[in-house]
Amino acid sequence: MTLNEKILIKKASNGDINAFEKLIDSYQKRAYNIALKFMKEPEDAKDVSQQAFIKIFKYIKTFNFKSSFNTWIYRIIVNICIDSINKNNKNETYLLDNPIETLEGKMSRDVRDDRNKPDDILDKKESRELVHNAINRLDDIYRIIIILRDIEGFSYKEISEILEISIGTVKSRIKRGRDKLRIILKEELEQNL
Amino acid sequence: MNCNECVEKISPYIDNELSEIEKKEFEDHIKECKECDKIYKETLDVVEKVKSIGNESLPDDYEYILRNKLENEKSFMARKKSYRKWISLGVAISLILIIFIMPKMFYIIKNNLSTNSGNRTEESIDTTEQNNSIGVNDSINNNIESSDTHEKEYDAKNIINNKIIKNSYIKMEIIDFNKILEEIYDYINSKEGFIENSDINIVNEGNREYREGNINIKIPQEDLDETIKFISQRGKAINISTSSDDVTKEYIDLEARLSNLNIQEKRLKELLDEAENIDDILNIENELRRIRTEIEQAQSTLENLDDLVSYSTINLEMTEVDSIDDKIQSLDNNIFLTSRKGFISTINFIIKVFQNIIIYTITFLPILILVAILIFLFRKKNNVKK
Repeated sequence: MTLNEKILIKKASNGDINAFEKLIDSYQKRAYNIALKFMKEPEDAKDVSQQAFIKIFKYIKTFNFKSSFNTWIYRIIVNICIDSINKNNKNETYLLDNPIETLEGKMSRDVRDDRNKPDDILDKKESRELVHNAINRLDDIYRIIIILRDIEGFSYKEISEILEISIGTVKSRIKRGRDKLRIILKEELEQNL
Repeated sequence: MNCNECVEKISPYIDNELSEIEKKEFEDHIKECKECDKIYKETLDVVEKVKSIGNESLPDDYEYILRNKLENEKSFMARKKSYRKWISLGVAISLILIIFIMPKMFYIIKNNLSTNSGNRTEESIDTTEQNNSIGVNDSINNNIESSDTHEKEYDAKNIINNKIIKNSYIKMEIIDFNKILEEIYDYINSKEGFIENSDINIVNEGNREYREGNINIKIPQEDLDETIKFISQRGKAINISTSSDDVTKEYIDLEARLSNLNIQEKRLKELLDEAENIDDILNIENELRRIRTEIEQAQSTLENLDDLVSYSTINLEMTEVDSIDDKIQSLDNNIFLTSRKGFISTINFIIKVFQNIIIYTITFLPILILVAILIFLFRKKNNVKK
């Protein structure tokens, strides 16, 4: 942590918004991208990451300078991502064959099938989407670790601090996450070919 | 290195988290083992693909919206802070009140049940109020005036003895209750007065016991003023009032009636001596009996009035206090002993409060559990609704 950062933290904990903006300037893009990969929808990612920054602003007083500010910030962001995903899952689970009730009567749900779009597979953009979808099919704990490691490039040690787990757990989760991802991608490719 | 170990190390190898020796071992193994090499290549491919997703830049309005949200949060926090401050202040005050008032309440309730001292104090307040409203000087003046007019009336009739019943009320604060009480008793005995009625209570206030007493004293009328003076000098007299009731007229009427009755009795006795007819004798005797009763009644009333006139009543109300004047007191010799006592009683009080809290918690535990269950069920229901 630089001295400048320390000064900004002190100022921000007194409610100085300008100082806080300077402080989070270098974290915003990464935070947004973690949320984006995790939540998939840009709007959700925006909401969640901003919610996290507001929480950080609110609780910056409680930050103790012994731990790393860097991992503290990302820990809050990751936790909020996981919380909001869980909330969304709870609130918005519906059965696909459960008709939507409207004023005019019942409507059956029409669901976009993301898996079968053979025409676009070779397109690079679409291939990126394919990987993204594969990541989204992972369990939360593997998804977050893949995002942090392979997209955001955090070290094992940083990840262990952000997620508050041991480096051994980080290692085994990365391995298992990648194995699962490998299998999912294989499946998708087989289906598409 | 076997294949299992190798597969475990694929990810750390890709992430460059292996030591040089481990790296070397790993590379050697995948050169020889095609199976592991295949998994390694696939994993590497996955990692590359994931990496290729890359980062996206922030939406244009991201910082602007965040700024707005932060400012909202800041003003909300400020409001909440002051709001919270008030709430916590209120809670603190009510807690303190509850903690301090509860034992007092218990004490009062307990006292009411056991000694009814509460009622007594109320009564005493009532009487003092009445006396206050009349006023010491006024009542005395009035009485002097009224007795003046009476005197004129009876002077004309040449009657020397005025029959006046005198009552006094003294309310005072004293320091050493027992000592003063003894002094007053001794004085009353020396004046041939007596205690008609006395009622002494002990009241706990803070860490000290105070005595308060209500004493009815009967004292010969000629000594009344002196006695009032004597008593009121023992402490701080808050209220002294004297009231007189002139019964001269009533007394004279009664005396006249009594002499009439005596004459009547005498005549009836004469008639009885002369009577010859049995019916007459019986009638006269009946009449005599009736007159005798009346005479006796009048006589006892007269005696009673005499008593009341010759013995005045002092209603003395005394309360024990720590100090009676506003002078600076000399330092109490027992200051440390007293403060030690106070300290111990405070600690006992705290222990008692905690005891009470524990007792109440346990007492109300069934209700608390019930409430908790209800809240839990209510929440569950709400969640289901959502």
